[in-house]
Amino acid sequence: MDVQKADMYIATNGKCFDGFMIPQIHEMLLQADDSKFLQLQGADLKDPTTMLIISFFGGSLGIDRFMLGDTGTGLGKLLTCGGLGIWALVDLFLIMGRTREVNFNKFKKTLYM
Amino acid sequence: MQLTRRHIYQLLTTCMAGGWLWLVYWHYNINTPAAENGILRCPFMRITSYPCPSCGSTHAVLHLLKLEWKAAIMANPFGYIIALAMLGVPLIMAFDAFTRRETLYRLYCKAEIVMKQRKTAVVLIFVTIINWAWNLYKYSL
Repeated sequence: MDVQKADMYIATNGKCFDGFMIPQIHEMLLQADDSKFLQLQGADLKDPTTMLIISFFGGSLGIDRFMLGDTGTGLGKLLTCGGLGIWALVDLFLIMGRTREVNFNKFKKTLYM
Repeated sequence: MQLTRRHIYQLLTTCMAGGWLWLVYWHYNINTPAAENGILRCPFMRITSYPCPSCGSTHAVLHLLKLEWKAAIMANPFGYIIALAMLGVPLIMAFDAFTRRETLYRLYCKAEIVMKQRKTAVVLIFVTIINWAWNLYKYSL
């Protein structure tokens, strides 16, 4: 993939990944095929800020965790009403990092599929 | 934070410890006004004034500990799932500790895979909505 496409991808989706992962993602994109660019556009990346808002409103029902594919912890939050609110509060701090991690895993899966 | 094997065991240990402390607290304070109106109530209900899908599950588990099966269902059927987890998880964890196996971790991973399947997810969501609707109905009475 050429540098222009890689830079465009990072400019569009950089907020969905951890800052320190950006150089690695850039390197992975440069080594990938041009055909992967379109596939990567279709990858369902979650916006960390949107997930934070969802966690704020639906955290006690585990909706944030269910949306990230963490069904076990989501079910735990649902059955305990957000761990009596404590787990929901802790997740407000953890959810953005977890979203970026999930996004990176999806990125890798799409790239090496 | 990636949920590794160690994280899952730590999370489940915290949940079990918190859950049992919660049950013990409510067992001795169930009819006191301070407990009923105090800070340790459903946060969803405190904010929205409506019950969440798992409201009543503490009472349900307390009924189950006294083998009051029908009262437990009337409080919240999810209490059965929670009671099963609160009895089963510590036992399996102790088994894993003594035999140095990963039974609980494997069960957790398998459960996640099953719950992510579309058919299972749809059924579970439907059951949750029905239970929530019943909770709202009971609250309105």
